[in-house]
Amino acid sequence: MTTLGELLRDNRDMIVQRWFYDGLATYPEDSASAFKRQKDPFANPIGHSLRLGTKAIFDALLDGADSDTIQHHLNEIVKIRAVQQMTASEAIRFVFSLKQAVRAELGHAARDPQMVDELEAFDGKVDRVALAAFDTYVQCREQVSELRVSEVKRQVSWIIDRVNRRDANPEMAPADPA
Amino acid sequence: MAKPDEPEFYEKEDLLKVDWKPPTKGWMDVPVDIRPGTYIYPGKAKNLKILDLPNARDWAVTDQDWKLPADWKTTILDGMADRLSKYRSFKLFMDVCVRCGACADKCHFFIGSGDPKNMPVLRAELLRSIYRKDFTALGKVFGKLAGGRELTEDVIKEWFYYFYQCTECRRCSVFCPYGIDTAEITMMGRELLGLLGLYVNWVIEPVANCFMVGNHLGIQPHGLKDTLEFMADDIEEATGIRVDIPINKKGAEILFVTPSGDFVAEPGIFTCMSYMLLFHELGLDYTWSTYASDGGNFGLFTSHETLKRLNAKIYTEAKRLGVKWILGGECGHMWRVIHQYMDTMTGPADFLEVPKSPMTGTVFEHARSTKMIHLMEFTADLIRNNKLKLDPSRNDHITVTFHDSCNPARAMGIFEEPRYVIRSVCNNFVEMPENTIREQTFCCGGGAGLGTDENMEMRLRGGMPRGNAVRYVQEQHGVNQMAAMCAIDRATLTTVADYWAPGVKVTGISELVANAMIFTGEKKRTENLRLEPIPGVAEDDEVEAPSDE
Ligand code: SF4
Ligand code: SF4
Repeated sequence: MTTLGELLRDNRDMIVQRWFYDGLATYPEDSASAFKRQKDPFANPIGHSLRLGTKAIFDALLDGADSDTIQHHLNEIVKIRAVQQMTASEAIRFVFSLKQAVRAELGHAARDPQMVDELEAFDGKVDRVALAAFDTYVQCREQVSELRVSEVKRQVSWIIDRVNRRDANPEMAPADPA
Repeated sequence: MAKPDEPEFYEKEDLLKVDWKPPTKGWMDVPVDIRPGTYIYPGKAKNLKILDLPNARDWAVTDQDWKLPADWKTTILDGMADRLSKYRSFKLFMDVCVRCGACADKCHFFIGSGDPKNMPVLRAELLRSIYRKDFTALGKVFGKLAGGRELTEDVIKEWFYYFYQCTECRRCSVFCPYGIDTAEITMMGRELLGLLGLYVNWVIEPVANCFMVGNHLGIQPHGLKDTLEFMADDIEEATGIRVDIPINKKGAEILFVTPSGDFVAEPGIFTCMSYMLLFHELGLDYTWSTYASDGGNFGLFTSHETLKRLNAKIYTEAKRLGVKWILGGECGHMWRVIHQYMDTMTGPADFLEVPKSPMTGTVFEHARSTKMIHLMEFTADLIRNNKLKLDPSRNDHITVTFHDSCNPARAMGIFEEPRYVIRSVCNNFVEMPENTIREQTFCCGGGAGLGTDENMEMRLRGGMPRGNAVRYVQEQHGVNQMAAMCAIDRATLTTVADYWAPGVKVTGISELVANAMIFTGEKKRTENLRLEPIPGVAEDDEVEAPSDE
């Protein structure tokens, strides 16, 4: 009897590709097809990180999840989506679509009662990845607000510091002898 | 029908029908989705009034009613007709695009956002569709079938949104077989919007300031003097040298002009201090001007008229002070203006002399007409002629990469001088991948008046391709600094790097030069110009004083 793990491994390329396409489907069609086509990582960072990330996360899930690898690739993907024209749920939804990608590729095999438990366990893992993705998303959004503040500060702090050094607080100054 | 918890629910064939894709619509039918973090605040009435611009009023981008003048439609169409007859390039660009798509995925805003309207071809199409409808025979008859569309208020809103999502960087034009320059189309779009009083404040306030006071930040003459003096204090603290600050000095040989961004924001101020140190060491007979106190020209991002208005002050001041030629600091778009517009717009400056380095005797023939050269040309020439005493090992803790700023790169073609200078003062220099530098350089995402904070999300999208390349060299080669010869870059790339390549700092090239330079009479250098300790040089280490040859 084949295990889910074996099935997933056999169908890996198709599952990952489907997952990757689903991730790109958040973008309008013209954009998604450009991101599918272009393989150069510098000309197409969105497509590249998603292509690489979906593959790596899927493999990590199969191989007993080295959580650092998953987190690394999740960062790569979510960091981009966190500053794009998406709601939080749109930004994260690609993680959940792995479940559908798996079922779509396994077809009838996924219906085998033997598989149900294993699939459920797999779904649980995907959910954990999704939760991590939410955390990452929120961190990125917080960072964007911080960047905004620090940029404004950088524009004035040096000069204010120098002015204050020169015109020191009059209350602290020695009393005028006159 | 099976329930989601039943395996049948996940029948492969069914799932194939599940479609997350947004419905396919023609681009004209996708309404513009303006949300906070992606747009820039509108120009305030007071700034428009200073510049005598039409329809001065306060309004908000999120308002339903943008308070357009009653005859706005005729104003736009007349404005378009006027520009089509005046600028042949505009007419050509409207006509010759064959929609081959070569430019489509070349814009950093498209690459970073995935928004098709950021494909240069579609950005141009925003204007071209109106052109087709109202200015071509086919369009007048067939309308939408011929790619034309009705001019409505929504179209105006879309223009405002997308023409301020173009940094006029010209990367797309490098790839267009017809040489269509979408930046020029954006400029036209912004000019037309301006006829209705639609500006962004981040551009129009600097323009108003510059017009009134002489620089974008509105620093008054005494304020500028104070600022430069503060810098002299820091320079003294770091090097033990007290530099002179010649201001409005009549009869000086050279007028020095730099972007006002160098006067206040970190890390630009360190670049500015470096200029002062360099000139001091050379004993250069130069002067600052409190009136021509900005090399930048946000008029370029507004309209041809304002561009000209602001540019004129540099020559006027050169004449008033009686200098021989003009030296420009590390600015980006200053060089676009000087190389492409200044000569025909304000020049030729016959009252000036062809720039000649007083140190090396080199005559900068290429500036025969404008009489203005770039600091990197000047510095490269000094180094080539052994006029600077350099100890590049002082920069050994730095592994630097170089960001070609769009304008010096694509509008001026200055690629080698900055690299030559960096290599001379740093032992560790690493190039970013080929398709992200030189002519193909990626914009910082904050040029052309986009570098404010309220549109941070948009800037981070636009800055992503650059940040991505930086992070690559950071991971592969340990790059920890990125040099850029543009004040906007120094401000905005810092943020881009913080998000996309955390740990990489931004520096001007002159700062690297000043930190490597051995100055006459300097004290033992333990701190750099940022007043940070130089790694490897402890305060009490016995370091041999540089010998005077
Ligand atoms: S590359 Fe030039 S001709 Fe081709 S679509 Fe773009 S602008 Fe049009
Ligand atoms: S000029 Fe630059 S920002 Fe504008 S459309 Fe072209 S590539 Fe994009």
